[in-house]
Amino acid sequence: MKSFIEVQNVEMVFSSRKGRFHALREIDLKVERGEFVTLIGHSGCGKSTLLNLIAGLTRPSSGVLLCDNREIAAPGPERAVVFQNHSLLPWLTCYENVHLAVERVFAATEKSEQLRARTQAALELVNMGHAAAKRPHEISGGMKQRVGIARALAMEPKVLLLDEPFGALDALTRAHLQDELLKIVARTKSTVVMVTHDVDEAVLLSDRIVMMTNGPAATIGEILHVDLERPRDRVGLVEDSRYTHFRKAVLDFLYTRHGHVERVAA
Amino acid sequence: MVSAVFHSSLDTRSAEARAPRVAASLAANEPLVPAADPAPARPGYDWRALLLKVVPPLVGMALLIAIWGTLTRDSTSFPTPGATFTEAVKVFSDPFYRNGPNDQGIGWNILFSLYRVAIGFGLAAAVGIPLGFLIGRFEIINNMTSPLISLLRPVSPLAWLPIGLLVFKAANPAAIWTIFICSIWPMIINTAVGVQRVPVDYLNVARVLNLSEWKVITRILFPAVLPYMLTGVRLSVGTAWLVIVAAEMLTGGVGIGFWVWDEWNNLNVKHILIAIGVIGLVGLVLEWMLIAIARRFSYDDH
Amino acid sequence: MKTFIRASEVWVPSTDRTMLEWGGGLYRDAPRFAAISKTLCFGRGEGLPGQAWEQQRPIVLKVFEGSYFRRTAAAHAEGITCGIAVPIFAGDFLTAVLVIFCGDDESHAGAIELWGNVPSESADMALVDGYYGTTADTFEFMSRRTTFRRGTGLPGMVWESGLPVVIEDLGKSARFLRADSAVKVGINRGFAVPCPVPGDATYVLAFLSALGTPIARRFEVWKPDAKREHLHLEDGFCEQGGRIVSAPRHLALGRGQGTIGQVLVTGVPGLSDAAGAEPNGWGDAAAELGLASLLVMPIVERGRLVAAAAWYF
Repeated sequence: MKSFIEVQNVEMVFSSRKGRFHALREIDLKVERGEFVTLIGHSGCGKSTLLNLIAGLTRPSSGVLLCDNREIAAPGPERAVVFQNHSLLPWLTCYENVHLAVERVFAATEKSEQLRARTQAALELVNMGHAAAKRPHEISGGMKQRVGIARALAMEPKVLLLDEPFGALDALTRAHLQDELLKIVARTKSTVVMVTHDVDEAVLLSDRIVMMTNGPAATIGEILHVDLERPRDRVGLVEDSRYTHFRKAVLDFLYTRHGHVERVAA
Repeated sequence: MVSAVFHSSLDTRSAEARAPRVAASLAANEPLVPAADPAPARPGYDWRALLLKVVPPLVGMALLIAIWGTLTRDSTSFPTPGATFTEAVKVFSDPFYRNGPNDQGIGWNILFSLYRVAIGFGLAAAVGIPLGFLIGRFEIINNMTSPLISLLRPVSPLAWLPIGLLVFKAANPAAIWTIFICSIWPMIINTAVGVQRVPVDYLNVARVLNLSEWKVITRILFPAVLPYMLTGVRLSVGTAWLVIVAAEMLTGGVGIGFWVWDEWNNLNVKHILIAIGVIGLVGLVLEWMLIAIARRFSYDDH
Repeated sequence: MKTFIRASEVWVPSTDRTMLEWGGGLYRDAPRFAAISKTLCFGRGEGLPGQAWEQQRPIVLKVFEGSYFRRTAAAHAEGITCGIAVPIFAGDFLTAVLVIFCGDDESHAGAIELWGNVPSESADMALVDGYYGTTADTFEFMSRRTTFRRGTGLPGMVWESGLPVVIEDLGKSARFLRADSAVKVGINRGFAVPCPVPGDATYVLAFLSALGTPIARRFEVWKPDAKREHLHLEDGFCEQGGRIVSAPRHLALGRGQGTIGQVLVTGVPGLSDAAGAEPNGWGDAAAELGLASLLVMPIVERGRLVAAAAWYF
């Protein structure tokens, strides 16, 4: 049975004026429908590159990426992206930003009344209905990121791709948005691939944590299967020893193992 | 509870009013607002800031006029502030008279100069902005034109004037040509930079949304480049107004620059000073107008 | 003192290749089990060795009751609770089955894990099964939920190199927690060996132990030279001496020399409970260190021996 997203032996080499940069090697990954997968690793480990490849924003140097059995050849609304810095168009209101996406996806088949309803619903989903008429510069970072998520979800994508969506936010806002994301994903049953630096975030949200080795020529090192039951309660999990073990395992991979590996008997 | 504390402190200062406030704050366990001070009412108009903005410039002006007056008190060649003012009143009392093609009211002179600026400027925008778009969007065009632009940009606009006279054989088109050539550079360059600086994220959004090329240009590129374009326009206007005065001095005809030169020939220093004031004022007004337009279209979130 | 590995034995195919016969064993403190084992033979698919032969891959068996295991009563009597069978192949030909038995032991912290990857199914190497003795459940919990890729982690490194790997210090915190109990110390030493099988699946057997309670007192990795005439000691770890680096060339073992040299000839695991009798100075060294028994496992890739792993108890 084919997986929902398949990354098959993907390599990524960038050519620039400064020379070739081997970003990713031998990436094989399968993501099942409805799964929440996190890519974690140090800076420069190519996790954002991998996300861009899945999004279709970049083509791989070699290898194949499939989504729902079709090759990922270009970006599209079925693989919606939430960017690291929200990327809301500053000359449009929040409503218009989301509407742009809704219009693109549904205008061919639905009337403007329905499009309006979709836009409003998406904003409500992230608790931003009240700020629909505001411009991005009038709202806080956390709210901007929420609108970014609303825009992505409004397209009813097959896959939700998040590139360190909460990295630029303070800890409290981040915690709040993580909880909201959990609820939204539970409700929409989305398939999610998220890039993050934050170990706690990864353990709290994911079904699987894909830990990448250090670049250049980074690859997947270890995968941790986080089988904590859902819905996950942040406060309750702090006391759950399993949560602590998972967390430790990821921290260990990131900070202890990498660099401590003894030489191979060769 | 907390808001009850604050509101009541603003409303009244009587002891009776303070009692419920004290009670409210005790009930809310909030620290007591100092009761004794008759705090100012809710902030009214900020007179102090306004005064700070208006008074120093006025003082500066007054100082200048005072120095001017002192220096020219006993002079025969240079007019005093008083004399200049009287003359100014006379000039502006009938700004739109017509005594012949070379002798028209100051109003007409200003309007003619502005007309030339507008034409030259408009042409520069019509040519420069699309060209800037192309240069910004396509690397190859950038490579073709960039050395040319770097070469021609530092050339003083007035050096272009003889070429204009040669080609157009008349003062009016030559002056417009000069305006055109000096205004076009900031428009091209700023627009090109604006296009190059459109954040990749916005373009990525367009890609994920799979927007058509037309939609990308109208809904993403154009609004993103607009601030840069307007900056280019603003820079051009300042230079254009500067240049037209000089160009008119050299070519003659009707216009504020020509008037200055003409009055110099008549040794009417008062008129020259008035002209200086007028030129400066018009330039300032143009600048303000463009700043207002730029602000209208900005979406400052940085 | 009981060791983690209670017994090890080698089963070899009979001359007509219809069954597996006893080919030697080390049964420290398990005489009854030894006695029974020496009398048995297994057809293909019968018993633990027979199953390894049939399935053509290593097996970890922890529940003896109701399974194909034939020595359940004897195992229980000796406190043996887990059997790990590793089939050794030359190409598609089975040459032997090495079986290791472990027993519940209150004072040991350690684990033997079998990791496997089937490339047609996944790019992950996951835990097939493992014996965790009385180690904290946490360790088993985490192992079951972690998968490795080629080159990462102990199993991943063996997968990539195809050779045994020694890690003398798995890292201060590692993924192994320091157990609460006073007797147990954090697991921090590991060595792993590849178990080549026909087909493209890869299996790795990992031995992890704690500082004070090692699985083996000495572990060595030997490699053949280019002409396949001698085996050289390339790597290893000794509880008493620390990390072993390459031994001088003149101390190499030739084909047939001692238990280890024999493995180069036969490609079949070797056992000896007289480690002191090994030739070329190795026996004396072993005796000096108080090492009594020796188990050697060949790593055979495509019919050729690429390494031999030796455990000293």
